[in-house]
Amino acid sequence: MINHNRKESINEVVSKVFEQTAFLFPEPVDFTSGVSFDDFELILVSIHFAGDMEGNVSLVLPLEMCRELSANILGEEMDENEDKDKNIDAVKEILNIITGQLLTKIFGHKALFNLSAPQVQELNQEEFFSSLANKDFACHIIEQYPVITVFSVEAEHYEHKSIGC
Amino acid sequence: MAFNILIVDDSKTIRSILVKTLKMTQLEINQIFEAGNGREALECLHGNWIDLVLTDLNMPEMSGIELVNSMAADGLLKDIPVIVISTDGSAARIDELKGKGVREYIRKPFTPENVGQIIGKILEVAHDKSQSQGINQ
Repeated sequence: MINHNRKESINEVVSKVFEQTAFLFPEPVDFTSGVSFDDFELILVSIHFAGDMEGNVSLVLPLEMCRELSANILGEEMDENEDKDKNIDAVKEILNIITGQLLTKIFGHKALFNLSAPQVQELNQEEFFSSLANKDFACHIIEQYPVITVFSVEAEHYEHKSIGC
Repeated sequence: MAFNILIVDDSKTIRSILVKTLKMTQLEINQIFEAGNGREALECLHGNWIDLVLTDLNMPEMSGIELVNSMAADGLLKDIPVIVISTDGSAARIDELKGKGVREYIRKPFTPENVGQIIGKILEVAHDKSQSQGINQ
């Protein structure tokens, strides 16, 4: 079931992190209103969190966006010779920051989590997009690129009395 | 006095940002060392004079917390100031780290100005302390 407070939290955190870290300004869009991912080769990066709750935060974005993201974060001109590892590292770090901010935003400062290292995973687009209907996610256009951030909880061990949503 | 600073983070991106941030400050920096995890950091600390450690928490092989624990248990390293720079916003984690002697906790995303100010403050205190110890000895 989609939790609208969580969706708002995702929107807020994604905007803040991209703005402050990469000087990019995400525009929230309705995923069902015809956002197209067809023209892009996409990558999926995920972090698993465990502690008071257990789940994943994932980012799906066009591979070609990673170069711009890396250049913006590092304050550099875009390399003519693309360093794919460096570009992916920048995406992993963005996801790392989003995850830390999102967990605090949703569960508060008292909750304690351990995070996995961000992992690039194989993306089965058909499976991924059809699974979104049951997940908390937000879709943004950043520059001309569509980006999806997904928050999913696998196991809840948390006492809800201190949750702010 | 010029300082040697060790940056510990598994993300090359963050290490690059911190190197740039340090170079933008007015601090007199002699050398900046980099490590990708706590184990590499300890190797660097045992082979070089380091005035300040900036470390992430969540790293492969040896985490930032394990690094802080190892430094605290080592007579030669225990007085080197440590600043943690992490995405973790848990109050319990921050309290735990402060209890282990971590001087400051900076949460990502950070601004270069904020990082520069905090490092400047910590190094000034460390410098004054070493000066006064030198005079007293």
